[in-house]
Amino acid sequence: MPETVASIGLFLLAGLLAFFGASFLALSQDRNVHRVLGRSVQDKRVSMMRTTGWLLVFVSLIPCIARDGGSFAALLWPLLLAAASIATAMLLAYRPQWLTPIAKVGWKNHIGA
Amino acid sequence: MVRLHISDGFRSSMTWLHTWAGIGASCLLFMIFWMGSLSVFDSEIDQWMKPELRVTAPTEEFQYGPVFERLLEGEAHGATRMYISAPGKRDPLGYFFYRNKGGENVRGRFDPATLEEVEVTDSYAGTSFFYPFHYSLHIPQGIGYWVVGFCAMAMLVLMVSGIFIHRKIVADFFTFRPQKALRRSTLDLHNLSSLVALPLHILFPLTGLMIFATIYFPWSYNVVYGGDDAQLNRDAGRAGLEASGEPLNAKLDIDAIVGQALSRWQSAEPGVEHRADSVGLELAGDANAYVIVREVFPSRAVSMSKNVLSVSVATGAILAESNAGPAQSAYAWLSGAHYIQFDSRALRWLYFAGGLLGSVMIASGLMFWMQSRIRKGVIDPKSVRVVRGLAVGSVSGIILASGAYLVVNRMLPAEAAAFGLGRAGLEVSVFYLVWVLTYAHAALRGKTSWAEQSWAIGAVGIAAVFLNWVSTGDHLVATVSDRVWPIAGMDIVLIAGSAAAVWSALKLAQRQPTVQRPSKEQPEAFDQAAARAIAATEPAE
Repeated sequence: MPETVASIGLFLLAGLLAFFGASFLALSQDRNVHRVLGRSVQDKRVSMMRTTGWLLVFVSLIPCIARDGGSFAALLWPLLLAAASIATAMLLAYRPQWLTPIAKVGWKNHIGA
Repeated sequence: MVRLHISDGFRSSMTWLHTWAGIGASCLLFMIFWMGSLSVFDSEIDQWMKPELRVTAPTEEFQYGPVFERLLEGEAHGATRMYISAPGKRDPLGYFFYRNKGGENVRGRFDPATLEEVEVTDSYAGTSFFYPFHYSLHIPQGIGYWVVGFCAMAMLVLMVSGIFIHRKIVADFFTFRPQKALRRSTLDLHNLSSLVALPLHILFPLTGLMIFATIYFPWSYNVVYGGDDAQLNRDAGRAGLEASGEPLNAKLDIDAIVGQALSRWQSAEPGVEHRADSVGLELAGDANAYVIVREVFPSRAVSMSKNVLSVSVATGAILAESNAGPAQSAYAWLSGAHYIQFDSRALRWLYFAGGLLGSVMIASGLMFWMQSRIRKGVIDPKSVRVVRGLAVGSVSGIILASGAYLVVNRMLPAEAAAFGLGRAGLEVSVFYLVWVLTYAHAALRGKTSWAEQSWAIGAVGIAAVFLNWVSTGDHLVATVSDRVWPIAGMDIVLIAGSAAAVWSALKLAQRQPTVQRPSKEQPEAFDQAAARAIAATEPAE
């Protein structure tokens, strides 16, 4: 596929959506929130964070299809999700503080003292 | 939430299966995945190892007629067969092949701009060494296809059994704890690399097996064609005629025939731009002469193309035409997904990363098994040396040998020959020599061999970049500013790989060696030991 601004932009959009999807899903789990924020969340309801995560993951399919069509998206999307999940896991392992903004945004009404 | 109720008995039998399939296949699987990852960029590796290929791909439509004319009127006069392959984006020189009057096969590369033959460095490089290594391990007589096939089957068994063994797939999905004990973090890495790309780790061995399906199951062809190879060839678009003995009395117009093929494919499949990737002339000079036009490489599709057309030179009639039915179209998508010949830079890099991720999965699984067994003391000390030697040689050893292959390529002169081997053969000999030495090194040096070989990989990668600069002048600053991406990409990956190797060597040096607790008990029943090893390293929370 010839490299145009559109194709690069769609790729980045898909990648970012996949990454935020993966991080939201990771941060919907108590142990990961603990690692990033150093404390548990007050409200144990995980549905909002998890739903948003899944939504972002599936929405990331759209720019993949828009970029190269369904046939290529069937390969591009799983690969991007794998990359996003690895990136999330590596951040949680080595630089959990970089995920603090995402954790704060996602859990803003539920973080206790 | 879906909860799988897996009984302990079933889980322990899956553990046994996963362990033994892993013991049998993981060294070979690592080699297959490593060579497969390199093969994603086989054409770029070719350009790096054979500098004559570092030309920009031609932008105009390639015309076959002039090449055939030039050869048939010149050096190939009287040739009986001739095949020309068009230059492509990643492979900028054309290929020619002909069988001359004397019955000898002549082949070479030509520059599409000047139609002159180009003398290319004698090297097997990526497409003829790394790539066949991936699908056959260079084991001859077709045995290699079977060995790789068994490994692919083992991998499917490993993936499915692995899913059943893993207790908390969802809860542990993003878990990677490098700060913990080596066995814990190795298992974390194994689980992480397996899960994040699970559908892909199943897709690739499966499609690999499908590509060789007719080798493993030749009965599909036999049942349909009953041994009638002539009909099989015609259905694949190859006319397969015999020479008539009469001379040809029509003019050979290759470009008209190619045009006929392209317009036929265009009307059958209008939405896509069609291209003739190779053209062959059979029975040249005979009345039965025919031309085979092939489209192979898709540009905007995952599926490889199956378009093949045979046209008679004398009459212009279509002698044979390939017809892809629904099964073959599905097969074309699946095999195309494995072959990755489509034009997508983003996917190519992601495939490379994915292959390396699979390699990490296999290596970490092997290492976890080895560390668990050594810690439990269920391998006797003499065998530990052998096991570790095999593991280190198969993982860091083959990486180091690949780097040495690149280094020796930049060092050997064009006319190098020794021990009855040409230049290409010498390069391959160095690869195998270095590789065998890494096994010996690992067996002799024991635990420190991981770090030592990692240092060596770091050194070899930098040496390769340096030698590329010295021998060709195409250093990284020049290739980036001139946008020669195949060479720049190679040098960047070599530098990044060296950095990763040095980082690993440093991390390995920092690690406290795991305490050896020799087991004084009787060696336990295998599945109990395995289950206990895994249970002992489950996450605490």
